[in-house]
Amino acid sequence: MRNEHAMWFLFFLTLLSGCASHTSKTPNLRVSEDNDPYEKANRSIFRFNVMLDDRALDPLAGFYGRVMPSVAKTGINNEIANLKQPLNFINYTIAGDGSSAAQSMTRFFTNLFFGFLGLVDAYKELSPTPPPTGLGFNGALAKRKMRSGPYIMLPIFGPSSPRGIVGLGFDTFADPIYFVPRPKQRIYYGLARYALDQIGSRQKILQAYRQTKAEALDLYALVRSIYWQNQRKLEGAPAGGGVAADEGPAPYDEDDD
Amino acid sequence: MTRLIRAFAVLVFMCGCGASMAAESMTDEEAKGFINTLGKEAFSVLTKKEASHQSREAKFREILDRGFDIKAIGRFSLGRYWKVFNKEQKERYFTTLKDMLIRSYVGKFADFPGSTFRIVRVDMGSDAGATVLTTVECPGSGSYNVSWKLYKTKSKGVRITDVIVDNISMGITQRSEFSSIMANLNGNVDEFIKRLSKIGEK
Repeated sequence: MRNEHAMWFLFFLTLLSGCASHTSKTPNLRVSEDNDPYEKANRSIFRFNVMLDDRALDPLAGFYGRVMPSVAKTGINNEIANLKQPLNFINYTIAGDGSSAAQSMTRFFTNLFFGFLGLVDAYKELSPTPPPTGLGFNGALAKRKMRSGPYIMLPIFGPSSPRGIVGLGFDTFADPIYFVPRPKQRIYYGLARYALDQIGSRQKILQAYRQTKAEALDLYALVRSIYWQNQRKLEGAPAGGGVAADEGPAPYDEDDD
Repeated sequence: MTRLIRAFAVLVFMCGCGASMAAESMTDEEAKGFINTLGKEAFSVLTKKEASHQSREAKFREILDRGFDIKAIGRFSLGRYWKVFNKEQKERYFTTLKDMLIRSYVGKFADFPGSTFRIVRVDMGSDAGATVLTTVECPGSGSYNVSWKLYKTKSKGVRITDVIVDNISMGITQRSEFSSIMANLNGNVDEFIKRLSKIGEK
């Protein structure tokens, strides 16, 4: 019973994960550019996520950063990353990237047997090239040229799209790691892993996130732009940041005034 | 943050007019040398904890003047609202934007003392521009891929027009944000500039 309460508490922590922010009710003038036909509703959900973030994830990440020794944080991050490798293997395979799929499984077993069950990223130390960064089902679908659909802000989970929602569902239920613990423990295990992942990820960028948030003119628009740029990269946008050469600023010509 | 943040989080720049008549061709060595010199200078000053905030701001202003095409960045960031601005407002906007970038970036660099960077490669664009890919190592928070988009013009020489951190273009991100605010303000330019001037104020 006590454990159950602990797990629900952890579930609450996951509320922290969605991105966050506030501000303006922008008229829906840029639907085509931002692919955000539900902007009004999305902004409301975003405000909710920011409120949760401010009250839960941000303080928890700060607390985690202060009390957890650096070596413990690294070990937890490595463990969580390693437990994602079997799912990465599946998604890279679906995406048709056999090399990254093989590296993901090699990394999983290498760290399991030679990295103290994954607490040490032995594969990263031994590999001559950086390991693949990981791929969700949304990313696999993007690489298979499936279109994302419009921008959708999910409560708790943050920015998404119809393709992203399918990806989230698949990643939740298809992860082989979930089938290792006994059935009753799966939900607890999943929530704990998710909560720790979110807190650890936020802790790493806490100062930068706070500053970005404090300086944002419109945090909602900022988060949306970052989301779409990441999606474009998944869909195979050009190197150099996934931004095509003709998308950036051209030299300024005084005659343009 | 990870993304975000990493994005991080963080953000600034540009809007798009088509590619340019003003650009001149440059060699990859030229692009590499430009970023190497400017980057070393910027990192040595901005991440030095013992330097005063004022001296770091002054140095970054100098680097910005010498290395960035603020007007290109500013025009790109406004998107279609560029045409709403009159000449006087554009000048005021450029000045405000530059001040905002200085406040914002000097503050951000201060959070990463001891950071270093190295050039990974140079991609020459088909439009006379170049993208220099670098890796920035930040002790305690990992490494980031940072790309610098460059153009060379007869009048200004080589200038940076966009910074891309882990796939996130500062220019595109800023354009999205600025456009949203301008739409929200129903195109009120003076109010927009006023808001911009408050970003990063202590």
